[in-house]
Amino acid sequence: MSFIFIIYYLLRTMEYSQKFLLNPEFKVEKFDNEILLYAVSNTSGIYLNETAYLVWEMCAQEQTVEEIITLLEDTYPLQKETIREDVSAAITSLVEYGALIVSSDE
Amino acid sequence: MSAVMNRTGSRTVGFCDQYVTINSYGEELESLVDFLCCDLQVGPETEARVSYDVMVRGRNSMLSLWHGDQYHYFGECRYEFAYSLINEIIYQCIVDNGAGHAIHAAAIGSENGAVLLPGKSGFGKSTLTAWLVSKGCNYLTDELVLLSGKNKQLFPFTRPFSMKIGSSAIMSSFLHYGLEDIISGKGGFMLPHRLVNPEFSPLTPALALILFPEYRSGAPTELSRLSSAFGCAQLMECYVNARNIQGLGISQLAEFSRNTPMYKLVYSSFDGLYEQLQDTFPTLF
Repeated sequence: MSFIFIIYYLLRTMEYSQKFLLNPEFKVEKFDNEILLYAVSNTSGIYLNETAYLVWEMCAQEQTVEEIITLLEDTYPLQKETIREDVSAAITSLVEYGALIVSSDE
Repeated sequence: MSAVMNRTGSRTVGFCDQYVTINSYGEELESLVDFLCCDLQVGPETEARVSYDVMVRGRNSMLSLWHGDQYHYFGECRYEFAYSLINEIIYQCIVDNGAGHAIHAAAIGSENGAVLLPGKSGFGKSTLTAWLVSKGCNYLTDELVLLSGKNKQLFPFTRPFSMKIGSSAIMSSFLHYGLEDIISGKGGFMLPHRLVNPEFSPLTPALALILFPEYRSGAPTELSRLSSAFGCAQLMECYVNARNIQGLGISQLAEFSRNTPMYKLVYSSFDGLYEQLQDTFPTLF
């Protein structure tokens, strides 16, 4: 219950100026149009859809959440209504799996 | 411990070049060890990594399982004893085995290839596998396989079916067996696979299909194709030895996922299921 609360809290309070860092323990395995993230130290694998992978790549470029949203909204104007929510959900999920770490840099 | 009792038997068992020796002290243990390990036995000249002593003694026929001076089971329950012993054998076969990817999965197979049914404990894979075997499929395992990179070859850990106690009603719906046929306890029961289908071939076929089974009460039977990446993530969840994935890398597992059709199988009943599997995968069922 407390874990769900933490995720809910993270979604509600996500700072859009926040940056997230890639956890270096996670590696990428590319399939045709898909991505699998996996941790080297254990056997956890995370399937990423296209949005989540774009988010992952932009986090690697040290973009803030707002910059990621703006870039995706510009690239996919027809999906503008859902992009903010999709990006928040993708980041929350990647943080939950430990694949992204909250950066201390603002 | 063994110095005060006469050894009644010794056998070496295991799979994929990892073996253990089981020394029995007590005639009645011979049949119990045979029940568990008859498909895992190798010649006595095979070198074992460790040995276990199994004993029965006293008026209450107390059973015990020893590894050196450490005991892993001591009690009266044949099922719990058998469960402990088979888990020790599995552990020893996997812990330092770098020959392939150890996957928590059931499997059936023929010369045309193996069907892998990965799933964690409680997903009903043993019951589903027993039912498929009752329909004529060749049993390989209900617990563990090692997938080798060479030709996607599948090495099964062939043991008796091990069921949760809740499966007994479903099992009784398609198989007649008595208490004398099984080893049972509070937690579950074990049943020889030859009771379900006496036709058995110890095969190590190439992997042909992966089905991720999920029993979902009330749901219609549904087979849905999984993408390679999603299937690979699912397969990783059933990985047994994390050290192997560091040693062998994920690339090989990803290659299996790219080259093997993977489906999710949702079912709530066996009605019409076999016919659907035959229609979809005619060479494998």
